[in-house]
Amino acid sequence: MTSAIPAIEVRGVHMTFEDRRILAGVDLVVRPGERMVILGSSGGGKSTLLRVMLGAYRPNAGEVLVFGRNITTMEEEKLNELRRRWGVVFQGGALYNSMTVGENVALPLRENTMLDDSIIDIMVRMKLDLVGLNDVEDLKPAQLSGGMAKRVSLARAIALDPEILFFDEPTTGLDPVTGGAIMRLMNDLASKTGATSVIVTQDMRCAFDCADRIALLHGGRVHAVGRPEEIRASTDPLVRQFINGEPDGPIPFRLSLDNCAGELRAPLRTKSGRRPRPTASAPQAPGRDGN
Amino acid sequence: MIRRALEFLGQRLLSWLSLLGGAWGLVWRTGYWALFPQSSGPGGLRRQSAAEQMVRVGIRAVPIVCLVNVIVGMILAVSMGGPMADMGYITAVPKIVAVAVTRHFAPMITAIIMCGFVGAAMAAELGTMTVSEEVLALQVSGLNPGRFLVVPRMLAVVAMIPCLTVLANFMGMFGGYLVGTQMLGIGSEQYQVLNMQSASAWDVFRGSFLKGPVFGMIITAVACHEGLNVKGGADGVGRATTRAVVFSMVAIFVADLLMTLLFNSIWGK
Ligand SMILES: Nc1ncnc2c1ncn2[C@@H]1O[C@H](COP(=O)(O)OP(=O)(O)O)[C@@H](O)[C@H]1O
Ligand SMILES: [Mg+2]
Repeated sequence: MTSAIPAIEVRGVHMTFEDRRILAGVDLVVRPGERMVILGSSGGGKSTLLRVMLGAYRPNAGEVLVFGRNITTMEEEKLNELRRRWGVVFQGGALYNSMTVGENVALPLRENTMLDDSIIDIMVRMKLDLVGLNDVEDLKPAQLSGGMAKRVSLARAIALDPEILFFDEPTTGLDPVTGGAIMRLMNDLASKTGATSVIVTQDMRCAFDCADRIALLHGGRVHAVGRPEEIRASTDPLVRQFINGEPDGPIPFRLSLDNCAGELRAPLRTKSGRRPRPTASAPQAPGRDGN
Repeated sequence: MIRRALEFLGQRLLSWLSLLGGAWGLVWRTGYWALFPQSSGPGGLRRQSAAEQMVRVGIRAVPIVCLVNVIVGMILAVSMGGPMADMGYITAVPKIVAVAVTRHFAPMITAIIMCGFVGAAMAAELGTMTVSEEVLALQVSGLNPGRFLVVPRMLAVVAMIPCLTVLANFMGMFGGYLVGTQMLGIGSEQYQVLNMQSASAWDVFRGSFLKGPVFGMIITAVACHEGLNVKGGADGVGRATTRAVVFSMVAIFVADLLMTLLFNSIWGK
């Protein structure tokens, strides 16, 4: 299995937004068929990394290979062909609000296949059934609960039987029971279809229940990678702090401009409209030498 | 103080220039996608979506376009009535109204209404879709958001504005007719004859089918560009909507001036 071409390979990816370094050399290999959980604190660049892997952001440096093909230099047309081989479940579901649930799930089929409408209808019902939903085709996304929206989003993501499934915070914002149901669906789908999963989350329970391997993203880099039991047994102080949720440790309790730039939502500006000098840029992650 | 003001103006100018550039690029790309639908992926041109947009953009705007243009025609006739009567030229009113409406007011007023009516809605809708990651979802599933979202809107607006402008022409002249016959004492038949002497089909055509589509492209491109580039959350959507409306209004006035100059240089006054 290790000799096969990786499903995804991230090599030295750097991503900077307006002189704030969010990703600072991420290296990661996702093997075919495995469930890789990318764990990190909120604002730590998880979604950014995901978007780089999806080819939505071009990294400032580094490259991403999907099925051995470099998507960072790929033309949009070629990339779009590749994109039909994966499915994405976004944090808020990202359902198309102007369409019904059924139309949402049907859209990838309508746009990418020549299937007849009656067949598409059957497939939509099948996909919705796979995520445990019945008779919801005619509802509008605004009528759905958070958990249902996630399920529909999952049904839409698996419409074209993808080889890779990406999840952005699949359980965040859901109650534990609903979150558990989503996790079960994710695991079922992965084992039934053999698809590779890339799950971005800050939820430890999700990480330990869904992962074949866990990568801890911190300070813009992958701090540690390993199987759940390896991560759990790790003696690395940062890993320990993260999995135990301790307020004190290598990740400082006190936040200042020097160490929280990655958590700020927008670049800092002083009153005159000018940015302060480098204090706010380039978060220097403590504890990086522990890797 | 002055430096602050200059900095502010400079920033504004830069952001407007980037908006102009972005919208301009979007016009070209949309044209390309519309002409070569296959080039942006399977599924082709989304005719149904374009038809939906046409209803939304065109049909629903009919009442407001009628109302405002009738009022504009009335204003023109009322404001011209006094001075013209003083000079003993009351019969010039129908001619002035006809020329002003067909050449300038109908296309311009229709475009301004559409700017508020659809431009704002479009920027807010696409902005909300951007914020809720719907646009990203389209993009990373291999569906070009430009083809998917912008092309149907552009087609709808560019197709509907000329129709609305033709309607606006009649409504504007009708407003003038109301005032002319009811307030200025011009005979109904006489008004119509005078009106038709000055209102040329050629003017109506130029205003509706040459100016109209250009205004439509401006409105759609600016609104879609702003909507697709929203940063932040709900406040970002609000800002994008305001910017889209303000900028496209200014652009419409500028484009109207340029086109009028162009028309005059080609076809004479
Ligand atoms: N398009 C963007 N432009 C500017 N800053 C961005 C953009 N996308 C994300 N960021 C910033 O990058 C940082 C990390 O964001 P994100 O990847 O969403 O974190 P996470 O998903 O781990 O919570 C945040 O501070 C965010 O404001
Ligand atoms: Mg995120």
